Amino acid sequence: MFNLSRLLGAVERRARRLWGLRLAGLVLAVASAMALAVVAARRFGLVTLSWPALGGVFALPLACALFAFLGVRRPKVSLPRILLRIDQTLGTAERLSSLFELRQRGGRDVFRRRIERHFQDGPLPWKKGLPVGFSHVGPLAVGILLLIGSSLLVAFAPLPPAGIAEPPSAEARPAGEDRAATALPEPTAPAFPQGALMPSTTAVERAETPAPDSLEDVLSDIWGAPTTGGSLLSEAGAIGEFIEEQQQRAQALEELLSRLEEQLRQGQQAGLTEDERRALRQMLPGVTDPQLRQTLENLVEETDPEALQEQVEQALGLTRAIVRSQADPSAEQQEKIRPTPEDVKESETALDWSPPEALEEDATADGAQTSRGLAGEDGDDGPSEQGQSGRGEEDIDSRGGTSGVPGEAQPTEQQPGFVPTDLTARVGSTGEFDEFLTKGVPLELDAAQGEEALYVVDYETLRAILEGRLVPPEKQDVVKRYFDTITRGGP
Amino acid sequence: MITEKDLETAQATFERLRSAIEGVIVGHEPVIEATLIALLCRGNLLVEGVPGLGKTLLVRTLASALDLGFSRIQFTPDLMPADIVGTDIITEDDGKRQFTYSPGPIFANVVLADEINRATPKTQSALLEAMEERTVTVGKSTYPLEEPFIVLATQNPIEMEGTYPLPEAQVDRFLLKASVAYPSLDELVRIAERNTEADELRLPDPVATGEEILAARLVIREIPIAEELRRYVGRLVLATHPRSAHATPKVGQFVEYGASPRAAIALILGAKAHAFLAGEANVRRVDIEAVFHPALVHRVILNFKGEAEGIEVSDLLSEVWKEIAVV
Repeated sequence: MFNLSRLLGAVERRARRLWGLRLAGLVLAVASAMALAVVAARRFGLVTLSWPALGGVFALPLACALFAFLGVRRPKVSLPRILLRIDQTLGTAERLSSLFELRQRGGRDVFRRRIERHFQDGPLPWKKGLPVGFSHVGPLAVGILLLIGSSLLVAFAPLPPAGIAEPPSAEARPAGEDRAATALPEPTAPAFPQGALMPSTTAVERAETPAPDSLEDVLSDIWGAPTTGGSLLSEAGAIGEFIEEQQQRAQALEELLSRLEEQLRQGQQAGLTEDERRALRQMLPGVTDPQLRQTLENLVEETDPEALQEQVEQALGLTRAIVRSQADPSAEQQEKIRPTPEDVKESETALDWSPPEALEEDATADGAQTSRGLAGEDGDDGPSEQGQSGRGEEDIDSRGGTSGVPGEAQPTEQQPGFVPTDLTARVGSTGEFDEFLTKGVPLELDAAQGEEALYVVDYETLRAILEGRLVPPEKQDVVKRYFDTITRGGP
Repeated sequence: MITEKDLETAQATFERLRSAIEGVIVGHEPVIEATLIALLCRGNLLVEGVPGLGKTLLVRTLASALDLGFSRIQFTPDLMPADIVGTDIITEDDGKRQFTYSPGPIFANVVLADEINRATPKTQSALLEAMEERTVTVGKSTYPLEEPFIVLATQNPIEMEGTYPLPEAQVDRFLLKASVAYPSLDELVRIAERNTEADELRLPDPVATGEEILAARLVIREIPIAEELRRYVGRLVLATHPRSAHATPKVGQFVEYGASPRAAIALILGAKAHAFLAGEANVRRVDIEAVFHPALVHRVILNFKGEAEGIEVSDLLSEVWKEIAVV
């Protein structure tokens, strides 16, 4: 039985679906093209994206297309036009269109019955008049192909640094980052002259602005995020979590070893149980300190009770040293965990710890001029130093989590993701602070005095701190570049 | 409200009428069709063709097949309007003389205006009111014409000497213009047979009354046409206008004036009548196509360039039909 109302409903639904399909296809194509552009930009090192962000890049086109298909209000369907198209396709002599016309105007049953008589034979293949054509699936196909292309680009392209969780290898870094890592830029950070306090962030930014590889670029390398102020702060939490995780691992290892030592000393057991060996083996991958790792490996294999006890004590000592250095990386502790000259040599083969040549030249030539300029702005005006010092503290506080009156080694309130440190300061003859420096920072004043004075990086201390805090080797270079950037490099 | 019986009766009437005409006229199906469509649509028909092709016979046959009044006006250069519409004459009744209106030959149901373009424009214009308003005004009095009323005019396209082309306003009042073509060989043989073996050509007896014609006219107006087809007709008509967005390049180049709104009415009504005569219950695109040329060919006026280059309006219309898509 031919039912015009049902047919009209079905036609309208299909027309709306096709419209939605076409819109979704167009949206998907455009969004996928944008996703491909983003992925390509990432491929060539123009942008850095974390894995979640990358997932978002792929999910967004699909979500937009889905929304376009389901959520966008469809325009009113022109049924007369569609019915006429169906009539033309099926060769039904415009009967469907005429039936619709009769329905709209009402009455004239004679003609309606006569027309409907033509449709009594069987179901009408009306969908032929509303086919899913290229205009509907074409954009969709293009969008999907673009997404596949983007996926391939991601799959076969090396990943740039994507945050702390997944540090890339040096070989895998895009060319742009390699350039930044190997060819250090012109020195941009100001040296702090003798008598001048640490410049405010504004001063640092002003000095850094024209540099091609600014401090924020380096920070973005560290945190794997765009160099926006908000994201810097948010990424600081990520690095803090990493450090905290390292601390927890070290503490867990310390607890396990303490328990073992206690048991061995009291003679409760002659050797390690299988569970204890398994626990130690599971902790091994997280241990980056080579000496501790070697000790633990020996410990796991050891069966002689006496030797076992010795190795447990040795491992416990090393672990405690690491735990202490993580909690308070003071100079003394840094000295304790400072690697041997052999280690330094070995490490330098993998990482160039020598100061950049450009920095060296600059430190002797332009550096003095730069520092003079800054001293004129920030350091020469005695009374204003305190105020600028205050601003400097605020900036440091916001980034490093330190606060308080300069010169007082006071306990600092721990900020999320930051390591509490003390400030060291020196009070000058006038009673004002000549200089202050965050305790434990691997910076020191060079031999020059007065306006010629510069802060330089103590690479050995820096490396000792990094290794003590179990920072992976591939990240150490980034941190080194950070300090190079904010100072004049090494001695 | 049209009933099934009304529809069947009307279709049967026109089937009889068609059979009666085809019993006399050999071939010329398009012209017969156009004649019936004009009759159904309350329109007038302009038949164009060279002498001797049976134009006058066709009209006479139609008039004979209908049980209606018929009059024939032979248009000549000296024909006056009063010869068509009638005039007031002085009559004497009981010694009193008075003006009495004497109706002209226009007062009939089927009027044959033979060789209409031989009369002067003044006389041709005498038909304007009758064709459109179905009334005749003489002096201060207006007289209605009896329905059904149809003017069937013939004109000879090649006899330009002593002829006056119909003014555009007059031409526009013809619903359709049918061209009578030369018969084919078979048709010619059959014409010769009919006219040489019988004593004389016998016109058909009446097979339809005026009431039946009027009832059929009501029926065809009820035949549905899809909204999009009406828009299609509008686009087709607008495409004949040189300054329209729908105009084809050739129309823009060679046409001075496009078809009037009467053309759109003629197209839709003609298509309805064509569908009715075909036994269909709705208007199809083929129905529009069937009346497209007859309804528009006399309403499109070429410009000087078109005339100079010998452009045929039929060719322009064919191009328009091809160019304008139905959806």
